[in-house]
Amino acid sequence: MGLIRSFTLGFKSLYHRNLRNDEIEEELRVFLEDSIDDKMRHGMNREDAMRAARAEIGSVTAVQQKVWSASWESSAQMLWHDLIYTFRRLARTPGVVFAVVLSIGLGIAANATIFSLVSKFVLAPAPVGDSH
Amino acid sequence: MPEKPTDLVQGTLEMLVLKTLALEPMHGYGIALRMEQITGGVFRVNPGSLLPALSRMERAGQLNGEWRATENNRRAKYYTITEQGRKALKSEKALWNRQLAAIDRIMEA
Repeated sequence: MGLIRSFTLGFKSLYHRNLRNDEIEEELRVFLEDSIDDKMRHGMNREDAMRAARAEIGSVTAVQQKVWSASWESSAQMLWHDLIYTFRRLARTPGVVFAVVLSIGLGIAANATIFSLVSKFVLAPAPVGDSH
Repeated sequence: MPEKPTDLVQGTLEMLVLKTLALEPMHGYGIALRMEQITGGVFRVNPGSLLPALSRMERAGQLNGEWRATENNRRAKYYTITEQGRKALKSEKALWNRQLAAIDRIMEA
């Protein structure tokens, strides 16, 4: 059950990455405002409280990034980006790709041909009936 | 002047969050504040580690998150512990007690 939940939530946040980031930003804003209120209640003036709270919380983007990289879909997205990158690099050198595909293709073809011959004439028994 | 708060003991954040939420549903700042108050200011959690942990635990089905209004009329995400979370808390607590006893034995030897 946990797996399915993780899956659906993960896909949702992949599609609505901005929505998720907005949510984190809002959570942080409440954190900040409550923290400022608290510090003012303890006798800080508004400006000092704001500065202290900001320093404690740090950068919003960093927190968003941390939340994001704690999830499985961040690795999925990284894998996807790696794949895209690979294809882009390959597309830049079509000659090499052609040579590689051709040599692997010929290799497989030659192997298959030779093996089918060996299998027919060496390994399999002759297709004749018992002579007795 | 009280001593400076320290970071949590490594690997205990999730257990402490579960324990805090087992008492009542709370939002992020509430959790951080409660921990600081209960420990007399020894431990302070910053949102940079708290929010990722909350999101991870929500994913794992240990918590349920829900947007609600706070007492000072802000919209905050309140986290509630689930049955699965209570189970996780129980097993983590048992493990922690074992580790604590083991460390104690080494230090007292």
